[in-house]
Amino acid sequence: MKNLLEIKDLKINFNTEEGIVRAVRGASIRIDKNIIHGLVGESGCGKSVTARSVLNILAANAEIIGGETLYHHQGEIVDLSKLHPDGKEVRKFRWRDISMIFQEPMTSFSPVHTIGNQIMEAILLHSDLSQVAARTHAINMLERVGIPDPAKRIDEYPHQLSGGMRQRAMIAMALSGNPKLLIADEPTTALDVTIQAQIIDLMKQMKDELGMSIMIITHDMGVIAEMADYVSVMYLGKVVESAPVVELFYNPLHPYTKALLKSIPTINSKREEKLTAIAGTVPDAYCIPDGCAFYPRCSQYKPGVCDRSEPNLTEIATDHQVACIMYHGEVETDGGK
Amino acid sequence: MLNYIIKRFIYMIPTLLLISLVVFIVIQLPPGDWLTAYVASLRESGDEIDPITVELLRERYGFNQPFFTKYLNWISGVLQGDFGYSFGWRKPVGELIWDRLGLTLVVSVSTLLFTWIVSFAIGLYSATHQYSFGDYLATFLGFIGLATPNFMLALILMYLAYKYFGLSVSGLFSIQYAMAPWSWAKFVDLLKHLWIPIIVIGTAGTASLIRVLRANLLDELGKPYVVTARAKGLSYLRLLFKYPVRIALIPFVSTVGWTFAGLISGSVITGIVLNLPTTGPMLLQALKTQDMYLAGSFLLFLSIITVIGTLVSDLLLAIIDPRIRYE
Repeated sequence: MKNLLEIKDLKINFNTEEGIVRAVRGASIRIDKNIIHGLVGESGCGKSVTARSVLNILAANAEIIGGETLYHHQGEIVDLSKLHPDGKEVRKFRWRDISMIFQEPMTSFSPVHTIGNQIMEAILLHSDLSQVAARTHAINMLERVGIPDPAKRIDEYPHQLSGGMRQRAMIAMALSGNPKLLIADEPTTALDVTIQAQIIDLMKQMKDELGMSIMIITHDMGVIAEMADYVSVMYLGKVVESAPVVELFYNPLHPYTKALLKSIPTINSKREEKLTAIAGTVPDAYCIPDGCAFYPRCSQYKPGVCDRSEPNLTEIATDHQVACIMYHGEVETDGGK
Repeated sequence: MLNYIIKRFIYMIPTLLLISLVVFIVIQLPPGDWLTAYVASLRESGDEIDPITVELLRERYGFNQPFFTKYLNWISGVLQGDFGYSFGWRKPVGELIWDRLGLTLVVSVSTLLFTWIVSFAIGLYSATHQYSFGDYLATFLGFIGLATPNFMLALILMYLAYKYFGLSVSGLFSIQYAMAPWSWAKFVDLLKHLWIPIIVIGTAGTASLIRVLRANLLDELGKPYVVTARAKGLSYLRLLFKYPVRIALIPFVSTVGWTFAGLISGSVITGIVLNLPTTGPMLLQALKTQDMYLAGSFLLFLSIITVIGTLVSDLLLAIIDPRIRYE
């Protein structure tokens, strides 16, 4: 089996005072072993929620109302979404099997504990190592992620490190348990461009060294092109297209993916050329349109078809899946007329 | 860290000197002096006093000396342990204040502990069970506690204690122990009386600290580092106490300084209503009769306690929050 994690038809609601927000509405993602899987989409499309739901560390008002998160673990398959969020079973998988890094390296560490304290805490929690051995391991990890003078840095507080160094320390902490999957939630968004490139290189290097998979969540197509082997595009709580990275960039099928790619400047664009922005705005999460959620902004909108039934993610070529009525064969289209 | 502590101690010296000067100015501010007040009260009761005698007394007590001479005499006496003479009590101030200061400290420190323990427990529960029935109940009771004047609460509690338990709860000691030397029985008697002032003085502070802790903790619970800790597989309780509670305690601890001062000065009215042998009632009396050395010494000591309270809170803060140490 090359599967590592399969998210199937995942549905997550947020219960807010204004009503129910359907943040994830049946997302399906498959992550294979030893690859980098990119999850891309606009702000609010549910990509971070999907990622957090893997570890079952959602906010208190979020609720997984359907679907499965199947983790392939030593020949067994565990549905992580069914485990109690504070229970012992799911806590065993956190950090040890699936680890996570976040967007804000500044606030993702506790400001009043040393870096070493926070890294060693995880090591001591999940292993039988002694205090001294855990410290040696933590220093070793800090060195591997390229933090100079790790034996001194380990006793420093987060505010004494730069943003880039903090994200490196975060990566060291996440990887010190040798996880099978690293979930990176916009790990480079808060960093400046040169540091971004360094962190991306570091993650790729660590992936090869440790033989793990990475699920990278971003809104930046550049990061996807730089890192990912495989891409899933999310729009309003659903995956609308999944393909290997080269296929996605050269042969995008879903109108949303096409529009996304057109809105990125390339090195070859002429100065006078205007970027094509996607028409309209993302619909309100409280009232998602019937049918395909993208139809109000879609250039290939077919009245009477797209606003009636929501297309499912369907494989139309090897490893290339898309959720759009255009590619679903004539039968459904005719049925809609 | 050591540097920080030494620095803080050095800062205390000019602060205290300045306070002593301000205290001395303030107690001299009302027109006249103790003799004027004394003569006026004699006159009210129909007695007359010879103006020449008044002048002689004024000369003897040194009321005619210039301000700075008086201040220097007083402060140099204080530094040698001589706090001057109380005209009203006809005793050296030193003999009067220690008992009362001691009991004030007992009442204040136990009130502070009561306030902290109760508000910590309730605040923690309120924040972790936001919008639950218990949270609303705590909020409701908290606001009632905040809005009830202390003397009112004192009267209600005294009435209830007398009516239902037959306890005479005014003062800090029963009559037979009031003048007795310290013994185990006297200590137990003190505990029996202490709870009413603690509740009365502590309620308002408890209510506001509950709100402070609840708000801080709710803030902290939403911070990314909590998610990081969850992603590491920590259990909820362990996570809660190691990370958000510790950070939410920072404002809690920084209130020591001013809560303490508030407890001492805020307990004056309660002290009078409950007839407590603390500094409050005696200080008020001394201020009314312009018994300047007594009032001045009280004010000076209360200021010293406040400054020390602030120092303690600063040191605790430096222990809890490393960002303060490194600045």
